Amino acid sequence: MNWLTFTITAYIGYALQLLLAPMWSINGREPMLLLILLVFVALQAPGMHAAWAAIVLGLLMDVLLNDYQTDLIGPWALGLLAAAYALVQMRNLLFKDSMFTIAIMTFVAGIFAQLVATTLHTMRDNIAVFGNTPVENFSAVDQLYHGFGTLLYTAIVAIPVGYLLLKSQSLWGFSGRRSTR
Amino acid sequence: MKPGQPMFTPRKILFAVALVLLCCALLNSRWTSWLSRPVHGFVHTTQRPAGWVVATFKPEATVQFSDATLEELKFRLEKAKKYNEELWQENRQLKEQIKTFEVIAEIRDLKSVRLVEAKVSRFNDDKINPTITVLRGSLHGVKKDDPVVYRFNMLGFVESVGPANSVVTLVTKPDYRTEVTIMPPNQDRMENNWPVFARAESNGKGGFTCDLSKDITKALRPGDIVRVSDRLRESANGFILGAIEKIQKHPDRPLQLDRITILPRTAIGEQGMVTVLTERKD
Repeated sequence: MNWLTFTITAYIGYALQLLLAPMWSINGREPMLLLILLVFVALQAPGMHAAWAAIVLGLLMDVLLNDYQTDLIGPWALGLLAAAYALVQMRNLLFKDSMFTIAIMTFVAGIFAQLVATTLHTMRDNIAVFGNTPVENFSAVDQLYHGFGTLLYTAIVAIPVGYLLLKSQSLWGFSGRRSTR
Repeated sequence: MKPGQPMFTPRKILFAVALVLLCCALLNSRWTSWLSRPVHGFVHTTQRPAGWVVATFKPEATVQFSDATLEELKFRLEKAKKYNEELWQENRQLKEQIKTFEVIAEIRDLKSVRLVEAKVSRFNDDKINPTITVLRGSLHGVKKDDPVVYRFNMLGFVESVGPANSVVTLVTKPDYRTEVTIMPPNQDRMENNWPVFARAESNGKGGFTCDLSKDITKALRPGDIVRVSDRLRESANGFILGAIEKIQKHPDRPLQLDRITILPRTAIGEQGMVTVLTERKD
C-alpha cells in the first residue's frame, strides 16, 4: 500500500470530517469519513497494513470525536483495530470492488468499532481501581443509540465516497490479490 | 524465541501498541498524559492548514457573517443558542454552589470542614434502607460517616466509600435516632423556653416522631424547625432534619405526653447536587 496516498487521504478525510461537521450534522450525528477510509483500506490492503491504518485513523477519531471532553485516546483506536481485524477476516467473502460493499461493511465495521469503544468507555467509567474519575453524564445506551444513527448516516455517505475511493484505486498501490496476513 | 528470529516483529510491535492504547483507554488520564497530550497536540496542530484551506474557499465559514446564506446564519444561531444554554446552566450551577457555601457557612465553621460538591447518580427509595449514591469518593477526600447535606437540610451520612463514588444512607432509615433542637422559624415566640431539646426517631414511614411532655408542646406549632443536635455525632449539628407536621396526643400516655410528627426535608434540588462535609486533615 502506498502510505503517502494513505496519509494524504487520511488528512483530507480528517479535515473534511472536522470542517463539514457543522454543515451536514443531523441531530448531532455526522458521518465518519475516516471509518469509510478504513473499510476501503481493510478490504484491499495487506492485513498488517490495515491494522496500522486502523490505529492511525483511530487515533485521529479519538481526537476528533473527543467524547466527554477528555484528553482520552485509545477507545476508537482499538475499536477501529477490531473493525479492521473483522474486515480482514471477512473480505474474502465479499465483492471488494463495489461501492455498495463499502457502504454495507462501513455499517458492519462501525458496529464492531462502536461496541469496543463503548465497552472501553463503560469499563473506564465503572472500574475505579485504575484511579479513574467517572465520566460525567456517560451512558452506554445513549452512546450506542447515538452511534447507531451515526453509522446509518455514514453508510449512506459511504456510497459516493466509496465510489471516489474505488476510482482512485490506482494511486494506492494495492498489489494484486491480497493475503490475509 | 527461536534462534535467528528477530526480537521485534511487526506483529509484536502492533500488539505492544495495542496494549499501550488499552492502558491509555482504561487508566487514569494523569498516568497516560505523556502519550495522549502529544497526540492531541499534534493532531490539533494539523488542523490549522485545513482551517486555512476552508478560509480560502469559504471565508464565511470562519468569521465573516455579512455574505453568509440564510441557512448558515440559522445554523450559527442554533449553535449560539446551544452554547448560550450551556453557559446559563453553568451560571445556575455556580450560583447554586455559592448559595450552598454561604448557607453552610452560617451553620458550620468552614475552617474545620471541607465541602465536597457531589452529583447524585442513583436514588434508592427503599423503605428499609433508603440510600443515594454520589459521584465522589475517597479520591476526593470523602470518608465514612461524613454528613451529607443539601443547603440547610440534613440528608444522611456516608455509609460506604469507593474511590470515585459513595453510598449515603438517608436519615429516613427506620432505625435512625438523633437528638434535636426545635425552634420557631421566626423570632416572634422566642420568649418561651427555647430551644426545646428532644430525641427524634425515624417512624419508618419517611418521617420522624418525637415524644414530649404536654407542658412543652403548648409552645410548639406546626412549621417549627427541627435541627440535628447530636452530642455523639456533632458533625451534622445545626442542619435541619425537618419541620413539625402535626402535634397529637401520645397513643399510650395521652394525659402526660404529646407525639410530634416531623416532616423531613430530603429534597436534593433540581441540579441533583449535594454537599459532603468532610473534616479537614490539617
